[in-house]
Amino acid sequence: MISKRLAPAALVLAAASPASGAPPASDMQAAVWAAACATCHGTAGRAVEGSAIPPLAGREAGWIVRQMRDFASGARPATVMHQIAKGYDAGQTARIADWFASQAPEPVAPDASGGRLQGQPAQRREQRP
Amino acid sequence: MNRRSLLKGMAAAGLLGPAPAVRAADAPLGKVVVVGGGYGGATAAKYLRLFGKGRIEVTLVEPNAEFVSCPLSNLVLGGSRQMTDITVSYDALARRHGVRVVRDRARSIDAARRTLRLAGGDTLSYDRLILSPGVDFMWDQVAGLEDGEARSTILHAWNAEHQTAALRRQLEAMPDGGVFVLTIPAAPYRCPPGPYERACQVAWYFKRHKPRSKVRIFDANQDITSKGPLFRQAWAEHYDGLIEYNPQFNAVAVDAAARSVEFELGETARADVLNVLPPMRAGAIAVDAGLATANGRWCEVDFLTFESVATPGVHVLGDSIQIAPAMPKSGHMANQHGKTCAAAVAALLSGAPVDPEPLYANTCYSFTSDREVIHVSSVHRYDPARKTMVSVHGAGGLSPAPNTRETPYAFGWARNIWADMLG
Repeated sequence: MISKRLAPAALVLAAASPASGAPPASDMQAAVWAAACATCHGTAGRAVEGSAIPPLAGREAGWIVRQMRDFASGARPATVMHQIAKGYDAGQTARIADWFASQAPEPVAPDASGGRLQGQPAQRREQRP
Repeated sequence: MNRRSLLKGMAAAGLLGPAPAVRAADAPLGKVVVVGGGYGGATAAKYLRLFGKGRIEVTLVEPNAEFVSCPLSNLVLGGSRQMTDITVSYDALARRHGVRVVRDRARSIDAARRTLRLAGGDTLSYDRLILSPGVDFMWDQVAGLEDGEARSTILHAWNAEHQTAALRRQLEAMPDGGVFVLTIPAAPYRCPPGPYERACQVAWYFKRHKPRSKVRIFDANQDITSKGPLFRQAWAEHYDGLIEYNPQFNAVAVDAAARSVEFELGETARADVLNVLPPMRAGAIAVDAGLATANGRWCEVDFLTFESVATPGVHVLGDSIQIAPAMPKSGHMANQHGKTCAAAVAALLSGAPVDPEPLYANTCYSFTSDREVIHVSSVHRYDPARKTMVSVHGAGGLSPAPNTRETPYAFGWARNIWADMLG
């Protein structure tokens, strides 16, 4: 029987691309890896308006790669990204950076930002007992 | 990956015999039904539309009119936020992404016919079914809670929804000098740090409005299950004498009339407000379908596709699954499951190979006051030898201390993840 590993290996070969800055629109694996970043940085790297967490869509790939490297080394201080950046190797980071660089930095509609929660903490509105 | 999808994948990659007929670029790929519009299910529905480039017909079955977030819901108990702050519409999923949102409850699965029956009477057919039903409670584990009446006064408030507002009302009605008792079940349960954050929020409210009151925590676990030193620091700094922590107290019975709880070794505790988190398991629809293959509680899945190991064509994600090592039952993690599953289902439906190297992260913020936060983070990759997700060595970590520097990021996390799943 043909190894179960064959088909996935073929995918990786087909999908691999250097961090060239060329639009890696076909790099589906990188698109799904980047989707993990989207949880905090916004779908396709388009963060909601007023978000303290910056958008990544349309950022230059080299800039993203440098930030990840500096987070991991400690050269750029962070609250959480120094911990996350250490989980990605240079090849993974380069392909995710290429993917975000290829995304148009469109504004996110205000009604997409979710709920009526504002970015600033604590406007006291509780009922007094 | 099952044999059928493997062969389809190899065929698409040109590894088997004659090439299949080429599909038109816009031909429909199939029908997917998603059960549950929480962090896992709503994310899966939206990303099926994105990754399937609009060629997958997606139906989301969700009984609630609006999404209410469990993360941040403890702030409603503390009083610094309102229910409206953590409530988001499902409208954009339909309007912007073409997801068909059906407001109904899933009742039963016919896996052979690939149909899902709804409580309202309709039957939906699917090529693949994705279940993200969250947790259900094992009421039979806490004597006195088997009947519904006790459950109307002894709340869990662990699904957000109306119980969160109801527990807040109980706290508001409680006189100063009262006792709030919170019981925590043995892990695994939904949101490991959630109970300790809840203790902080209730204590924050008491400190300002009912300073003679007390928070008593009774935990079935050996010790605090997540962010332990950070919670202890917050308790010491802000809530000294207000929060009492009792590890290794497993709640086994309640007396609703006396508002008391009894523990495994016979001790009892009386409360003015009693908040019992019963032991949890996968959502009923998954358990009833025979998918809870791990101790009858949690659903084992293939971490490349989130397909059930028990039933081909049915995927399970979010809090219902038997988690991988060091993988928390969190909303953030369910969002990551949803995307991995959506990409895999899109691949399976189009005959493409499934990505063999999923890679994603978890970040979880807990509020220790109305404005101070702590986080835990981790990065997870697939280990092909062990066929599970493992945390990447050397990555991830904790906040150094409770702080306000991270507060804008904690609120930013909430707004972005809600937009990512529903916007």
